[in-house]
Amino acid sequence: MRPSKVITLALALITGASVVEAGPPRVVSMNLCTDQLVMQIADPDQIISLSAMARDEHSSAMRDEARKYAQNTGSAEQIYLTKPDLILAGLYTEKASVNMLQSLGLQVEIFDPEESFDNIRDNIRRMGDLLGHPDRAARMVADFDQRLADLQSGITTRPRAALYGANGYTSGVQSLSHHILTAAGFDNIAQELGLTWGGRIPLERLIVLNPDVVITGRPFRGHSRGEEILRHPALAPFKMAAHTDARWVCGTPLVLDAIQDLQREHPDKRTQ
Amino acid sequence: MKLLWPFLIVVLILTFAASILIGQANAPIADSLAALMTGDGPLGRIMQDIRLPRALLGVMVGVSLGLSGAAIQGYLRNPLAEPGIIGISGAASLGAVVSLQTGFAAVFWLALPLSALGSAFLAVLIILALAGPRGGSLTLILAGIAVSALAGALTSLALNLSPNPYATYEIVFWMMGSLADRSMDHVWLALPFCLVGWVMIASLGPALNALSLGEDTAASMGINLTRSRLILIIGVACSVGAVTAVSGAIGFVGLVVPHILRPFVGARPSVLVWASALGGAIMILAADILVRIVLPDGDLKLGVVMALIGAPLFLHLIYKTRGDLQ
Amino acid sequence: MTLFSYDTLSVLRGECPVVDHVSFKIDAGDFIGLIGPNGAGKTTLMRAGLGLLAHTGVSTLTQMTPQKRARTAAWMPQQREIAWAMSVRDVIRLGRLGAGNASEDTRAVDTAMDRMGLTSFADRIATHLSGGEQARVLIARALAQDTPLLFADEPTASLDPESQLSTMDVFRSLAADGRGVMASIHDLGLAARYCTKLALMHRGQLVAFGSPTEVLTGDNLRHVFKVHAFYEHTIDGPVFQPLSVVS
Repeated sequence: MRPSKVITLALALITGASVVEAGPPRVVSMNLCTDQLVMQIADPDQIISLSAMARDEHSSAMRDEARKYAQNTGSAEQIYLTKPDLILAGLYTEKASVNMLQSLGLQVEIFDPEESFDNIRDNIRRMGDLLGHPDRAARMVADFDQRLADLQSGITTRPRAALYGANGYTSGVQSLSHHILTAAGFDNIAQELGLTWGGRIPLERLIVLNPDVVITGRPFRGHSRGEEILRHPALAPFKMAAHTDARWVCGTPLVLDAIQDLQREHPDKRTQ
Repeated sequence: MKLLWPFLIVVLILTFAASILIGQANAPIADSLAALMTGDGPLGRIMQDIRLPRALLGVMVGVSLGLSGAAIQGYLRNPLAEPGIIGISGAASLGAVVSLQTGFAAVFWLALPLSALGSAFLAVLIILALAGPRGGSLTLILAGIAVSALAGALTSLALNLSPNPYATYEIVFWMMGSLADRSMDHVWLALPFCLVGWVMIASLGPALNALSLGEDTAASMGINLTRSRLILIIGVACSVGAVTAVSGAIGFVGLVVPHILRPFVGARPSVLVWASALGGAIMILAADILVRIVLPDGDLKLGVVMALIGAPLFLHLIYKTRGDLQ
Repeated sequence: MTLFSYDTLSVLRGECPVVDHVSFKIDAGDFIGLIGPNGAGKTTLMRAGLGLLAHTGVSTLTQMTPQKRARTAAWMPQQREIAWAMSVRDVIRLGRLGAGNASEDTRAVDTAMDRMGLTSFADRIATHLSGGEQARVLIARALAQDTPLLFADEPTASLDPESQLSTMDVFRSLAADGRGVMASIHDLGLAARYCTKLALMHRGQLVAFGSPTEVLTGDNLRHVFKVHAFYEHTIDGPVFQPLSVVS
């Protein structure tokens, strides 16, 4: 046994104080994006439960790993009874539940949704600090930057791309999708239209803008009229690229996989 | 009024042209027309794949609703009757939504309009059965409210049960109607049923005239009432069902157009039916132009404009005919 | 020549015969007044004869196709309905069934208007007229149909004396032209003066058929109508007036 531990034990026995293992906190996550960051940074036994969205086949990029962990319903009562050290929530997590947990004396950390790569880096570092793994987080950020630089090397042309989702909605410059798109080497048409968070592009306007590539979302099961527009004959001549998928939703290093996939459509990168 | 027909035809042509030429692309008229013919380039695609089907559907919707409204009013001898108010359009929406959400619509090409048609047929049957021989206003409108409410609730339920998160918000489209982002596919889908419906309704001219004097007199004048009733039901179900399946429920056209045109045709039902077909097309095209001018980048529903015009008129008509309410 | 006949025609409502084995003929030149108390079955008899109701027994009209029937007999029901604000001329033209050519139609419509004294009303809106005037419009419609037979249910109800007399005149002259007219009438005085024959119905049965004198006997009046009446042939023609109720 190391001398420092002998002294700690001796002191504890002498003072009669209960020994608190200064181990990493046990956490509950209530938000899809914090779920994924937690899964990527924490030790498995730190995770008490994740939100139900972590298993969602359409929105979660880590749906398979999420099955290994328990699931919470977001109810303050249920979460309180699992006695977490730390609760992670998103900006739009149900306010009533968050307030209740705070008033019960629990530590709740709110994470804003990631809208840029800087946000991703900040959130990774903050998560690392909270979970007691600052070194892991720092390594993750370094790997992220390295791989991002690799992905962005060798890009000379910048084709014009439009993100086009159900009901004709697109993402503007203040969105994660925009940064994924531009990091992959494309220009976002929404920028030409001056859109910030995004907005609706009428079909006619899209055709007039004549993008080089149109990127749609992956269709949901079931039918909706909003998604019918994506199958409109007028869009047929456009090059329709890979769909955006779960990896576009949250700001974690998985966005790099999304960028790599997207680069299959990029003239400079597709052969790599 | 001899000038009525040339007037209606000229206005229809003008509104059709305006509908084709108005949109976000904002190209000069000559360029747009050239692009319409050739289909070249982005403008050509816009003209042929977006503007043309929209205008054609506008005509089909307007003709169907105008014809059906005039025919139902003529048959029931009630100026308040119209496919939207008496629940036919709502029922057609229900059939369309159910077939789309259950995947039946994908089974074969015509499954969607047939489903809308089927539920519209059922609704017309129920309404005619409840309205009774004289089509008394009170019974008719109450029956219409009941059918509309039921159809609306079931449509909303079907959409909420969908695994698709966008489906929940579609209820507005189905209840208020829209011609936005429709394609030639939708035109071809609805056209056969519309044509069948129009032909059937148009054939009812003599019957509607004779019915002005009551069912007894009409029967004595050689009109087969049972056959006429059936033709009306099928004709209305076909035309209203088909257009509702592709553009949602658009109300009040069948009320407003016959009401406006009736004085100009001497109130003769057989003539009013034709005039309402043209008038309905003009009204829908004009309303569709309006939604594109008022909110060019938005998605204002056609039914909003129609309701803003039609609902006050409906109230006015109720007020005028309140002495006859039974 | 016989234009129409009933042969043991019956109409059943459930078990009860509303019309009970009625038989009679209408010949060319007949103006038959169908009389009887309320509920005697007069309307039912006429409607069954026109094929508007199911019946047993024979009606020569029911044996025809609806189109032929429409060209053989015109019907003016008791419910006076004009659903839309059409001009008087247009309402009357409805009787032409849309079958003939334009000039024949115009001639028939004008003749009908003239006969009913409506020529000055031609372009007025029918629904804006008084009840009596509308009744005359509807009679004109039936006249415009230009058929050998004319059936009318209470055509003189709600008409003023002038209109009542003119209408009865019109019917009688139609009969004199060689057509057959049958009208149900409550006013026995009018019936006695204008009809060539009367058909008296009571509880679904044909109780008497013949000339007014033959039918309007004291016995029949007491038994069927339960009234005493004054009935005399005067210089101005037959005069009939119910006087008192039989106690």
